[in-house]
Amino acid sequence: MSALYQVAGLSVDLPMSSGILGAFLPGPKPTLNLLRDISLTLNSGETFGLVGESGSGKTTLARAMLGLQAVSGGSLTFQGQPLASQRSFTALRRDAAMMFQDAVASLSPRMTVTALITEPFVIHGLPLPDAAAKAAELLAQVGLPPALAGRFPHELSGGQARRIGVARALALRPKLVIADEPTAGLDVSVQGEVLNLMTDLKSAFGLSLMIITHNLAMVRHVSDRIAILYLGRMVETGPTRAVFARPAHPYTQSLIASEPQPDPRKRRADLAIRGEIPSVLRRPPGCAFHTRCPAAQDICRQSAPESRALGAGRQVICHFPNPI
Amino acid sequence: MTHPDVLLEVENLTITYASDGGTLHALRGAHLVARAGEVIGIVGESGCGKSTLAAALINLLASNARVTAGAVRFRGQDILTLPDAAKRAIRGRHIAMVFQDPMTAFNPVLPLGDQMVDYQHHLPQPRREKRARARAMLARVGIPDPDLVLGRFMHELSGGMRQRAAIAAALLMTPEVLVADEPTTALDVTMEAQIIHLLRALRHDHQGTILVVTHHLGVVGELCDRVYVMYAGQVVEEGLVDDIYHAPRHPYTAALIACDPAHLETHTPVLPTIPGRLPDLTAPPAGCAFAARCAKVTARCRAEAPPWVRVSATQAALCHEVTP
Amino acid sequence: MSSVDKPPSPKTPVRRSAWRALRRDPMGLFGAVLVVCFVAMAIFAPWIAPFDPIKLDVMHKFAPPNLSHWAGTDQLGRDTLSRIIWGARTALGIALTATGLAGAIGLILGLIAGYGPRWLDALFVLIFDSLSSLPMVMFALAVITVLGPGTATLILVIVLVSIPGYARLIRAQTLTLQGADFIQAERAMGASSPRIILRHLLPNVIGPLVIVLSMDVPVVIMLEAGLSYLNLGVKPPTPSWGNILYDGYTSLRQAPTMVIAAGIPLVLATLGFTFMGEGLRDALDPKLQLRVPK
Repeated sequence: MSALYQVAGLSVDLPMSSGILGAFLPGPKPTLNLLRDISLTLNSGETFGLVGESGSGKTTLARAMLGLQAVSGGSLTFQGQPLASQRSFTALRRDAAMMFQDAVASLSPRMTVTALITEPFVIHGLPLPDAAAKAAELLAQVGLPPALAGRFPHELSGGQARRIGVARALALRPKLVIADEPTAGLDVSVQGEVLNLMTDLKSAFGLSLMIITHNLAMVRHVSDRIAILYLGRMVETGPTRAVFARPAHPYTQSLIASEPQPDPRKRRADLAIRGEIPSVLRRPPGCAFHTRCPAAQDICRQSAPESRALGAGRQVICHFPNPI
Repeated sequence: MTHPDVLLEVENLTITYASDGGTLHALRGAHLVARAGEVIGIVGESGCGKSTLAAALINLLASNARVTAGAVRFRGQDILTLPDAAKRAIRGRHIAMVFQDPMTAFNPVLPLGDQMVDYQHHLPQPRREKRARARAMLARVGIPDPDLVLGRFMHELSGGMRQRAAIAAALLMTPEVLVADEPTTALDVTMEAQIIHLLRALRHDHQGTILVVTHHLGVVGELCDRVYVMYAGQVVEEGLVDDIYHAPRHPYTAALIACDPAHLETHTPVLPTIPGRLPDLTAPPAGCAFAARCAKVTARCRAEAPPWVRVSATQAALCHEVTP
Repeated sequence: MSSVDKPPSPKTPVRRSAWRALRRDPMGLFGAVLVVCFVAMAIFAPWIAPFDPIKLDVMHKFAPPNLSHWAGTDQLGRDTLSRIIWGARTALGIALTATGLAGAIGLILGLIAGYGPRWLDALFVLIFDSLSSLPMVMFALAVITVLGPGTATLILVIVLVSIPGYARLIRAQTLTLQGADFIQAERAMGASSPRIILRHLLPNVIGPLVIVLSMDVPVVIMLEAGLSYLNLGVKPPTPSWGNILYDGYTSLRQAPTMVIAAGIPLVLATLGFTFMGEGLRDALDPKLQLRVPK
């Protein structure tokens, strides 16, 4: 396996709004630290799961990787080429596609399905001799009837819109697809269909897949490696099976334990985790997780832990990780 | 003939919606019995009619809905045929609802405390006592600083806090029936676990019944005593939660459980799905609604409506192939 | 998932449902018919008008309505009906040109402000705010005093005063759509800014503008008539409803029909555009459309 996309020490800070006057005033502006020191490598052909609760920064990371979000530090590298200029990101968007969380809302409302799924060709100035034929081919690829070609986005069901999203993402045969909550809002019976379709197309075209989700049960089955984000820091990363079998970070451990069990015989008596994710506006000092961590010590409240390698491709940011 | 501790009984409830595409048969003879002290799950996928059933329980059906047959009896009295004033008297005081999005259930421009006092408008106590009751209820649902939260507006609270506040508001009038419509769907997994934990704790001091409407089998498994599984406007199976999970009799129930990724023990690259689509409910099929997607289908399934077969004192299914 | 599990809402393309809603709305239809009548009157004025509107005929001045002069004649013997028909041309010509021009400029400025960099947006908002903080009547009078009355001045004044409103409407719409998922998705696919503005923003922001424009046309018609009445608008002898009204008032004793004859089209045109605008708004604005409650 070779590295396809590398993120090294990425940080994203958002300037806080200071009104119309603030836009003209010089001087330092207050910032909001959304992502801090994120490093990860996506290999060709693998499925990478990015897991986190709302506010963890997982969507910001995806947007930054495609150049849709200004970064304040760190470097991004795609196929060995650094991504720095706007032009390099424009080129990247031919080889990397993103699927948005709200499938219907991410389709331009006044365009037909045909126009929508052939749009990548138009945008990148690629030859498109017969748009209707190409649309039919792409629709067939994602298992949709050709009759949908003339529909508008609001005339599609959630599952159909999701498949249109897949068709559009794969239209230019990219090397990387980033899917933000690909199963959000879908019924369980349809979830499986969409994920299986993505897995099939992934192996057919040899692409890499990055799945952003909070659905642990799903990501456990479809990803090769996962990373867990908490308040903008990547608290744990490693091969999916190993992380699920023996989570090193107490947050990972409580996330897995919080997942409701459909089997009533596995009902848990007590809570794995209390409290809520603090707001990024009030990031706790030291380790950001110490306010909810069952194993927090004094040092966790005072100093932020550094990333440490645990071996077997696993890394954790914790003063007292569980033994693996 | 109604049993004394039966609080709520839904009998042969049939509801249609007038729409552009014709008459939509949203509920087709749904039935349900809820006794005091029970936590009941109503589970199913989009379009199964569970939200229509929930709306009928609390008498908040859409304006284009029409009840064509059946009854919803609260303590033996049909609440669908009551005059409006009597309906209002039952709503909130005897049957209360917790919505999926608590943001929309509260008035955004009033502080939470004022609203919780207003909910008690028909009580004789002075305002100060009502406020104290509201405060006590907020503390009961695990809000750490109830005095502070009483003065807050909804948008100032986090998602988990809002849902706790919504549950507190619903319980304020000590209703006999609490209907929770997707109470954890909008929440992150660690908050979901906490709300489940809260509802589980509340059942001990709540003498009535809690009905949880959800698509999430995990919520049912963690929380409920009995389950009604719905498909295409009908209850297709009822039973104790353990029976439903470990010995489902209806093929749809079995397929639904199989699809849940949380149910899969081992790593599977291909997720199970239910092939096919929900039947068009503007023209419901003559035979079994699940026939087109069922693995055990016979000629009789397509031609005749299936019987309601009781397999034990607690379990029954709507299926030709189920034998007592 | 219960958000998906709701009663079906009508799913028809916007255009068809707009036409259907307009058909269901008798006031809107009535307005549309009136508007079509006035537009036809303006276009075909030379063929419809029985007389030359500026040809003097002092022998027959102040004639009451009769078989050849249906609405009588004025103080110079000009046929009032012909002047009113030609007046439609003046009124609609000015109103449609002015609102159309203001709408187009407002659309462009609003799109730039909403989509462009923040400093440009801040600058535009500052300009819009300063422009709209000028008292409109004073501003109009000042411009007319400097440039002298006339059709071009009138159009210029109206355009200048109405641009900020339209630009702000479009800016607000653009800002809302800016964060919409489909715009983000287009950007993620590598779409250029001109493409996003023209193909994706424009078609989605233009609807509300058309509604506001059609409701503003009668305001401009009234303004034109008002300023012409005050001799600050269209210069005589060009027929304008305001000029006819003015002439009618000065000779109210000799020929009372003139005021009535010029008042009727003014009222009807105002009502027509207003009703049509309201009908369009109800048909196109999804927020006002009847939704099936959950």
